[in-house]
Amino acid sequence: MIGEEDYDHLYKLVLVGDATVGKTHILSRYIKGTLPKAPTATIGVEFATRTVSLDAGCAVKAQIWDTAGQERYRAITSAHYRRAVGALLVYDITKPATFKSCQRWMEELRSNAEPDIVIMLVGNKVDLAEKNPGDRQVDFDAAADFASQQGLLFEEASAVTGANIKLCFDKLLKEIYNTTQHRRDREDDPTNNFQLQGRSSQTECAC
Amino acid sequence: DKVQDDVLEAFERWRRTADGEHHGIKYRLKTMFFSRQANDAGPFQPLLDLFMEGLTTAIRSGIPSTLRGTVWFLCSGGLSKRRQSSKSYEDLVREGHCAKNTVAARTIANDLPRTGCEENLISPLENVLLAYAVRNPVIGYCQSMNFIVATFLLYCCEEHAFWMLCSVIEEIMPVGYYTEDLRGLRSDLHVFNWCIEQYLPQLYQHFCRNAIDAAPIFMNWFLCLFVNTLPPEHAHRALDCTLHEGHKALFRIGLSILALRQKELLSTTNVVEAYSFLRQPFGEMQRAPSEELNFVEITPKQMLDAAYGPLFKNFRSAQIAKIREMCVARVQAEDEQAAARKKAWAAQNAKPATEEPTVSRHFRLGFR
Repeated sequence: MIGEEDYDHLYKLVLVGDATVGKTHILSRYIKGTLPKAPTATIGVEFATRTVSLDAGCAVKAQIWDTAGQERYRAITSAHYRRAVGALLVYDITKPATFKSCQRWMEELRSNAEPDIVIMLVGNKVDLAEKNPGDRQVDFDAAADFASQQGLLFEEASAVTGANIKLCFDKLLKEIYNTTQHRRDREDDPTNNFQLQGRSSQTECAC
Repeated sequence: DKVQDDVLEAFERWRRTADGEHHGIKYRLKTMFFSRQANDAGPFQPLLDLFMEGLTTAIRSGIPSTLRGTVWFLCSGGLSKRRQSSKSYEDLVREGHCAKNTVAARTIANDLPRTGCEENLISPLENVLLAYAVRNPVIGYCQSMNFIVATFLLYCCEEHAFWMLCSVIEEIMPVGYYTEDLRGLRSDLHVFNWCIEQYLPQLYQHFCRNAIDAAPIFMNWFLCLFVNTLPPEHAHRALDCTLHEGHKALFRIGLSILALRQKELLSTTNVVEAYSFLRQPFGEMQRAPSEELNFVEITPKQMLDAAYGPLFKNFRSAQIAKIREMCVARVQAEDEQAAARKKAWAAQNAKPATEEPTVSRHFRLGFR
């Protein structure tokens, strides 16, 4: 067990997705190991942190922002995607509409957060499909295809049983670590500076 | 009718003990409640002003819980809303239950079990919210209404709660609080920020230095009229003031919370600590007590004394209105900037969109 304040990197993560897909449940399961006692709709944002050690041997502190799902709140919460390096984009495998929204959430994230934000697509509530296979409305393969097309990580999970919840966060943090490490290496290399500058001015011209 | 007279009498007794003697008040009380055009009383205006002042002091001293429902209904303008409506509440409920396939109705269904109210209040809560979505389809349903109505239902019958909700959204709060773009609310968050700078400069500096932007928390305070933030007794006392005095009371209460918790807030060094504190500034509502935060207990009276005390003595609605105008313009500019940023982003990413037409269609839907 590592101390809360003993970490090498601080990563800001956001939890997004339609209302009632289970964002707050996932967060509670990951942070406290239990579900919220009296579930309430999130207005604005809720907040939690957890420090974990990665295989690479360093400790990262995840600062997780749980956002409100109702669409109209994006006007305020989207400002808080800024500087997020990772996101859990959650849908409910029993509700196809919540999966369809993922496209929009993704664009919202990519246009508001860090440009190379790492996104983990999470199909929540697999426990319902295990209990009653007829409840599943979003195919595993369809979601996996979408994820690989869009360059997202992907898992199915259940906040209720706890299945795969820790795995989702671990994979996401590891990928963020790799991405940022890669970028750091590139920036440290003086021969790459010219190339980087060239690339950024190009993107500015693209509009 | 008889019941109303009895309640008015009880109300008058309470008001007198809370505020000293006022004779012949009953007539004026009725005048005010039954024709809420209080600004147009002709020669009676000075009398009415005097009466209003007394009533305000009385309400700030706390409405007894047995009278709360009635006073809320009358003071909030709920009664006027019922009188002005061409449709009855029953009709609206019926229509609401017929329109079960709308986005609003689906969101309501999701939120009913997540409101935290007693089992027997779920069905009235549903009726009120569905009826409102039918009455005002532009707003439909905005999360937070559920918490407000659940609080009304603790003291009022279902129908009164409905007309009070109408009055809160359409009269008491400024335009754009519960709408799709939340412009009114976002303007108020800027106004509140200005208030903090003005009245609590030390705290303001502290927030700036540590990059603590509490807007997502304050938005919860304002949208839910504090019912989601304060312990019940505090929240209901705050509602007494807001329903009677209007939305400016929210600023006073918000400021008083920050003032009373200034010491603790100044010792927070990052957004996370500040957030967990601001989320439940006077203690826990449902969660397990957090050990790091040692609360000094603040009573509802202390909170209201601070809100209407010397610290915010020169808090004037006229000035707030002027600042608000500037903030509304700022929000508009923000929206334009955001739209431009998204347009630029879209242009930048136009290439993959042409290869896969569905992406661009979704994209336009997302950022209309």
